[in-house]
Amino acid sequence: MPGVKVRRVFGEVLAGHLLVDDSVYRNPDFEFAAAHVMSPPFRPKANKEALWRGLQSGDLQTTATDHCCFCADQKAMGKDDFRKIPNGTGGIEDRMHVLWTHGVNTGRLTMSEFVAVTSTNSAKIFNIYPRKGIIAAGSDADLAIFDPQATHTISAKTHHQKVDLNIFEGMELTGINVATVSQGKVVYKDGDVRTERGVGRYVDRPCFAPYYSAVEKRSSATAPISVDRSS
Amino acid sequence: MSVIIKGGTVVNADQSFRADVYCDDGIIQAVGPDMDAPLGVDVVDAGGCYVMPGGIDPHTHMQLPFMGTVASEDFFSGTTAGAVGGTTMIIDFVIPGPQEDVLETYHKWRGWAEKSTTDYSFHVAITWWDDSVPDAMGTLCRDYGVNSFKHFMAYKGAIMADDEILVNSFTRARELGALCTVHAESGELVDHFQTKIFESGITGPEGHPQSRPPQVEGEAANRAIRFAQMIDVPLYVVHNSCAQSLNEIARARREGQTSIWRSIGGTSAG
Repeated sequence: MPGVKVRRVFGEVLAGHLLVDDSVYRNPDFEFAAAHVMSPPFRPKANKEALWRGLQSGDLQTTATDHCCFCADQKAMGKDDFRKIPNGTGGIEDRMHVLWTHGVNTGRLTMSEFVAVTSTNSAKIFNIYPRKGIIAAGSDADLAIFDPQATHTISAKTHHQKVDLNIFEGMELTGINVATVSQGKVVYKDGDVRTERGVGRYVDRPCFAPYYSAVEKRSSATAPISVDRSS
Repeated sequence: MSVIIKGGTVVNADQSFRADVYCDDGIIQAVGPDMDAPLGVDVVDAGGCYVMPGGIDPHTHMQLPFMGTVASEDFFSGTTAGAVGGTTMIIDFVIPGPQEDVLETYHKWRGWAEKSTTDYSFHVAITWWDDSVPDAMGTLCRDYGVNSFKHFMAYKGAIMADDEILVNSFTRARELGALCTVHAESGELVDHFQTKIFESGITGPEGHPQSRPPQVEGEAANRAIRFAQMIDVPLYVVHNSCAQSLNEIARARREGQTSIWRSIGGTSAG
């Protein structure tokens, strides 16, 4: 991709770590605090801005969720011992939305940078580009269509995730996904969910991604040397 | 099945422009202005909207068996929730338990994922080591389209990859042309602090962040980065949560692991 260079150490950040801080663990309600138990945990506030800067500078290239849902009855396994609280929180439905509202709308990210950190960079790093991660003839017809004027308030009462608490509860969004195309079919439009069980395909990801060419050259330049003492 | 997205602004990672998008047979067939919609084609009016590549979430755990229970979101419900939010692909994780056969575990997860509504792929975690594991890694890369291996540096006594496993697995991944990924938290230190904090009488969820401070993440990130540097394998650090790990990545990218700059573009030479 013209203009974007990355090196051989890549970094991912979760939507949750960009927007939630460790005050959740001091909440007097066990259920609320336990619902936020994940590893690594949510951090003191200052880290959030550092992570945003990492995304802006390119030191972090991808955003993810670590979507791993456990409900209150499961979290209760650690009622008397925090070490037994199942680690995990949700967010797969919200990642793009919160990145748009808090990334694009705040001026931290351009729209193209938003696309890079939510799709293109993962496609490149995991070597499925340009099948995924770009709108171009010949690429998979997987699309997200955002209406920048549309608004929504995140709530566990209305989300589609199978978990009883949303870590972004109450967050007001401007600019939301109004239609989704997967494999060339409209699978979501204006609140109407049309996904079909079992139509998702396993995607092969070949080894030796393009960045490996640099690794190969570097390795041959730094191969161990021996000294000939036979004479 | 054909669909045309009309009147929107296409946003790619390099540029944005007004264009319609015509899709047929699961593939984008054409991108251009003012296309005519052929008869019988599903038309989506994207006036005033931005049309973007579907999101890829490279880190999910659908229906994961973990800590004595199973994650409540399965591959069907999870990929559906993703689609509602504009995410059209996930990369989930195959995680063998200690001594659990790697290939068998991979096939077990593939079976679970068959109910997915959108496309998916798998990283495979290396959680233990014997002679069968490098063979399995080779088979996964050659025959099953796996190009990334995950290492949990946390969760001592369960799925933690210790230093010996890291060296073995990173070296094998390097031979195979695969990417190594790490969950960077020092399992030793977390285990130590968990016991200490619990025994001090703190049993509630506030003990969780206190037993895994940012320093344990910074230490593990640095260790993995240094291992990867010396074994010369590309490394991907998952879920950076704090300045400590971010600083290690930034340092690496500016120092020893930054001596070679390359575009990761599939077509550009860098």
